[in-house]
Amino acid sequence: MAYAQDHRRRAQTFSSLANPAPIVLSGCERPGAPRGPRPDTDPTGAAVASDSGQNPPGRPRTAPTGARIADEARPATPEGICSVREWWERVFVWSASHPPRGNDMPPFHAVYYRAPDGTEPVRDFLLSLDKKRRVSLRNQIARLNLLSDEIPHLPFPHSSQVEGELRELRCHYGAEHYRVLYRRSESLLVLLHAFRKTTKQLPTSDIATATTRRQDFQARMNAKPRRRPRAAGHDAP
Amino acid sequence: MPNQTKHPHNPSPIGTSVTEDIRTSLEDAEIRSEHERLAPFEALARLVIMRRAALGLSQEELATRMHTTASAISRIESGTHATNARTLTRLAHALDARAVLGFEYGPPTKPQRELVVL
Repeated sequence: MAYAQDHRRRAQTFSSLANPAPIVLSGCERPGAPRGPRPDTDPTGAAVASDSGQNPPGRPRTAPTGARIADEARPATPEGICSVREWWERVFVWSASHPPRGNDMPPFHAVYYRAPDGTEPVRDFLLSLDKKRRVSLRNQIARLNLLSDEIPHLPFPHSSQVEGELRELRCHYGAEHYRVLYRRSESLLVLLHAFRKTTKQLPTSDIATATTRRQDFQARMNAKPRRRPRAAGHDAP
Repeated sequence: MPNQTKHPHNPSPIGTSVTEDIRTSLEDAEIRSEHERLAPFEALARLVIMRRAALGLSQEELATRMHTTASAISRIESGTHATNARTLTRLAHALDARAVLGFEYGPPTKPQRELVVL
C-alpha cells in the first residue's frame, strides 16, 4: 500500500515545483571566498556566530553570505529557505528517478486484463453491449480510480469480496445486474472478467475464469524478459 | 479500435486503462452525449459514495440519518438519476457537510463562483 503514499509525496513535491516558494540558498560559499574550517569541526570548540564579529586570530573570515553559524546561534529557518543540497534533492533527484506526472494520476488505476492473444475480455464484453449500457457500466467501473490507501474498497453495494483477494464490482443498468471480477496487483486494479448476472449466486465457472486469468496475469508479470538471440554479424564465430 | 500492442506476439498482460478507454470512446458522438448527460449525476454519486465510505456508514444508516429509505440512497448512488435541492440539503446534513448551490461565471478554466449555503 506504499504506492499511494509514494504518489502523494511525489504529487506534493511537484505541486510545490509548479508554484514554487521563493527558494533562498544558504550554506553556499562564494567560489572565490576563502573557506575557513567548519564551526562544528572547530578544534577550539568555540561556536562562531557571524553577527558576533569576533574571529579567532589567524583564521580567515568567511564571506558574510556563506558564514556558517553554529546550530545554537542559528535562527529558525524561515519558510522557503533551504540548503543547496536540500534544494538539489527537491528539484533534481526526484525528477530524475520519477519524471513528473500530472496530479490527476490516481493512486490506483483500473486496467483491463489482456489475454496472451492480445484481446481484453472485459473491454470486449463492454463493446458487445449497446452504447447506453456501455457508458453507464464504464462510469461505474471508473469509480475504482477514486480508491486510495484510506479507502481501499468501494463500500458495500458497489463492491464486495468474492474469495480471497478477488473482489466483484456490482454494477447495474436499471434492473440488469452485471458483475466485474477484479483483483488488485500493486497499484493496479486488474479487471479480469465481466458478465451479466442471471443466477442468485455467482456461478463457480465465472469465478474460475477470473482465477485462471489472474494466475496467467501473475505468471506473465513474473516472467523474465526475453533476450534477443545473439546477432550473427561478420565477427560472429 | 483494434488492440494495438507493441509486441503482438508477446503482449503485456496489463491492458488499456479504463480512463484511457473512456477518453477514446468519447470520440463517438452518441457515447459523448450520453456521457455528458450522466456526468453531473455520476459526479454527485461519486461524492456521496466516497464520503459515505470515509464516514464508514452503510446505505441503511445513511438512510435513517436522512429519514428516507435505502433505495433512495441507492438511486442517488446509481449516478443515473437527478437529485433535487431539498434532498441534497438533507443528504449534506446526514454526511456532516453543508450543501451549496450557485452560479459560475467566466471561462471554465478560470471560473468565478457565487455560492449560497442551502
